[in-house]
This record gives sequence, C-alpha cells and structure tokens, in this order.
Amino acid sequence: MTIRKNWPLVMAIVLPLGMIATVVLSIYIPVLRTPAPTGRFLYRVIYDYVGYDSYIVQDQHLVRRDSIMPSGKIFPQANPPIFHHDIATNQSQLISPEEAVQLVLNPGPSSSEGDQISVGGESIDVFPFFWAENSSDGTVYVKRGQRIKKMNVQIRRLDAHSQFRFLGWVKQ
Amino acid sequence: MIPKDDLIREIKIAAALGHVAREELLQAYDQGSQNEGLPAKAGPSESTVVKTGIAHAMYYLGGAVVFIGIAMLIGQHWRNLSYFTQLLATMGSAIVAYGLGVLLSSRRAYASVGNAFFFIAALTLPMGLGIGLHHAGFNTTDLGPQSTMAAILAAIFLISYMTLHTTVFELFSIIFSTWLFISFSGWLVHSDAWGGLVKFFEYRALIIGAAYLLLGYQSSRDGKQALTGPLYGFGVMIFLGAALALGGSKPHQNIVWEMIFPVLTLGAIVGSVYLKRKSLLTFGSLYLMGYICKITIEYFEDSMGWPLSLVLIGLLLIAVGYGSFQLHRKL
Repeated sequence: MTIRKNWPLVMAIVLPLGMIATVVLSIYIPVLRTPAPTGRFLYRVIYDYVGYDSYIVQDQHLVRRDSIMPSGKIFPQANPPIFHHDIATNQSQLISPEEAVQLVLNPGPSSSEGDQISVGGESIDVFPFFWAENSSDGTVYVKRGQRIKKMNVQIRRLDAHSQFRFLGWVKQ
Repeated sequence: MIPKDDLIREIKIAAALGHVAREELLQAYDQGSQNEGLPAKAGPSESTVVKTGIAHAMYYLGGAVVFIGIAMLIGQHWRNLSYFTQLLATMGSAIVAYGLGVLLSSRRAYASVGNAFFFIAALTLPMGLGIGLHHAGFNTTDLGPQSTMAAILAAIFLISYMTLHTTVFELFSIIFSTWLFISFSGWLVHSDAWGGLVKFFEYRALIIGAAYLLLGYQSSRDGKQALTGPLYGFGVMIFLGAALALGGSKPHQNIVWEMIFPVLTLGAIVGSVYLKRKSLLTFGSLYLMGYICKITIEYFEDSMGWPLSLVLIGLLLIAVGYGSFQLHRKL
C-alpha cells in the first residue's frame, strides 16, 4: 500500500539502482567466465616524451637506439627508468637496462594469452551501446576480454607530462 | 505560516504529551475548512512573507559565508595546520553545527536558524571527510574514496531527514545521493566521473533527470512546496539535455534517440499542463526549438539550401513559441 502510494519515490530510487545493477551484471558476468590476466611486461615512465624511443624491441630483445645526427654523430638519448611489472602480484620493480636487454620480449600489443594494455578508459566497453571516447587520466589497465585489472605502475596520474610507455610482454 | 511538516510534527508532540485532544483537532479542522473562527485576515500579509523570505535567505547566506571562511582558513594555512587542527576546523565545525542545529530546531521559534546550522554542517562535513581520507592515505580524487564519502554523507543526511523532516536534509540527501550514483557507477566501469565514456555519462544524466522529475512529482503529491519547483526544473533540464545529447550530431547521430526526443519534449509540454508546472513548459519549449534547429540543419540544409532552411526554422520556432505562450497563459 505504501509502495503504491509512494510510487514516484520508489521509482526515483529504483531507476539509479537498476542502472547500477545493470552495469554490475554487464561487467561481472563476463568477468566470471574470463580467467584473470597474468604475465609480466616491461614499461618506462617518460616525462615530456624525453627518451621516448631510446629503447625499442627488435628480434624479441630490447635494443638501445640513440639519435644519429645528420653529420653522422651519435647523439645519446635520455634514459628514463625501465620497470618490470608482474600482473599477478600487481607490483613494479625497477630493473637496469643490462637486465632488461636479457629478457625475451613480445612487442605486442597483445600478449600470447590475449592480454592488452590500455591507458585511461578508452578501450573499455561496458555495454554494446556505450562506446569509448576521450578518457585518459593516466591510469593503466590490463584487459583480457571483458576483464579489466588496474595496474599499480610507477606513474604520476593526472600529470599530463608523465607518460606510460609500454615496451613489451616478457616471454620467459 | 508554519510549514506543513512542522505543523504535523507539532500536533504529534502535543498529542503525545496530552496537550490536545482528538476532538479539539477535528473541531478546529472543520471550523477552518468552513472559514469559521478565523481572524479577519488569517493569512500572513505580503510584506510579512517577503520579510520572512529575506530572513531565511540571510540565514543560509550566513551559513555559506561561514563555510567559505573555514575553507579559506584551511586553504591558506594548509601546510601550517596539523592534521588534528585541520580535522577540528572542518569535521569539528560540522559536528558542532549539526548539534546546534538539532538543539535549535527542537524549538519552533529557532527552527529556521537551526536549518542554517544544518546547512553549515552539510557544507563542512564533506571537507572534513575528505581531509580524514587524505590523511589516511587515500587519493580523494579517485572514485573509490569519493564513493565512500558520498555514501557516508548520503546515509547521514537521509537518516537525519527521516528523523527531523527538514528541507535542508532533503536537499542534501538528494545532492549526496546523486554524487554517490555518479562516483560509484564511474568507479564500477573504471571511468573518471565527468569526462570518461561520454555515452555512459549521458545515460547516467538521463537517469538522474528522470529521478529528479519523479521526486518532484512525489513532493507535489505530499504537499511539500520547497523543493518541488527546483526538482522539476533541474529534472527536466537534465533529462531532456541528456536525451538531446544521446541523439548526437551528424555524422554520428543516433536515429533512435532523434526520433524519441520530440516525443519526450511534447511529453514535458503536455505534462506541464497536467502538473501545472511552468518549468516543464519552458524547458520543453526551449529544447523543442533547439531540436528543430538541429534537425533542420542536419537533414534539410543540403536539400533545401541554407536560406530556405532558415525560413523553415523561423516558422517552426514561431509555431512553438505561440503554442508555448498560449499554454503558459493557461497555467
């Protein structure tokens, strides 16, 4: 009787709760069917694109690449730190360039298990009718199917000058 | 004039204390409904209403100034103030203001002043919670901590509203519940609250607008006038704005929402007559005019040419304006 009498109030509460429930179901039902992403990857934290391409993956290994001036003189690029991230523990570890070049890498974008790195919310599809648009607050995610995991990478979020630079998936 | 909620509450208290009998109340109601036993001029004069309105506005203005003072104090001396002092200035002020509000609102003569203190509590409590979470190591710009803050505030103000039935609590219950809905749904999809996933934001705005309209309708049914107008006004503005945005624009327009939108605007205009709400008519007409301009430019500019499109837009705007004016006179 009270519900029937106060139906506008009940509807005003049910509508937002219904949307929350729909979002939860659309996110978590596919997630339950998908195993959690695992694996490891290398990344760098660069500032204002300084040293953006100083390391690239060639023949499954990290290779240092310095700028060559028109005169033929080698101009060494800046050397931002390299991090090794374990998705299972969600922890990053600073490693030396010497350690990094020893690792066998897959430059991606997808790992052999189908995991993908995403920065911001741009590749997150919630419903078929929501499509992703601009959202990049610097948060880094690993996505496997509909399952998304936020990565605790060593980057200053909300700082437009500080950028995450994915290098490759560690194969062994 | 005593607000209806306050009057009913006073009657309940008087009945509980045995100060008034059921028969006396019924007799007073019957006499009042037949204009018997009333002074020559029962209602308050216009000047009294204006003076009371100004006094109430001053209470809330004073509350807002107190809040600004506290915020500036914290902002200017952020580095010099200890965690305890920051918490004392914000959370402490909120608790004291809330306590004073409860104390004052228990006496009818001071009820309005009590509301001003509730207003101060509503403004300073989020700041106090934010400082508490910040020092606990949370990033308060993240949606997780924001959802926590909004949930705590919404719970406090909803319980307060259910206990004390004041408009300030009703208003802030709605504001904090809206914040909770936006931040929590954003947290669920790993999206920032305002900029990320534009379509998702538009659907959320649609839901918020619909909820406000329903709350406005509930308020008008309950005879609570204070928030009915703002709820209808903001509700229709947000709801139709979201529906128009969902239609998109060429070349990414959504044909389904473009077809639904005129039905919604006409619904708002018809609803304004049924509910006797000018805000529904005003926003319904304005959005319909905007829609006519948008559709004409999108679909008829190429086939008819720009000058003829302008003529068509002008004629349609005159028709909408005339219809709106006629309805406005009837409301």
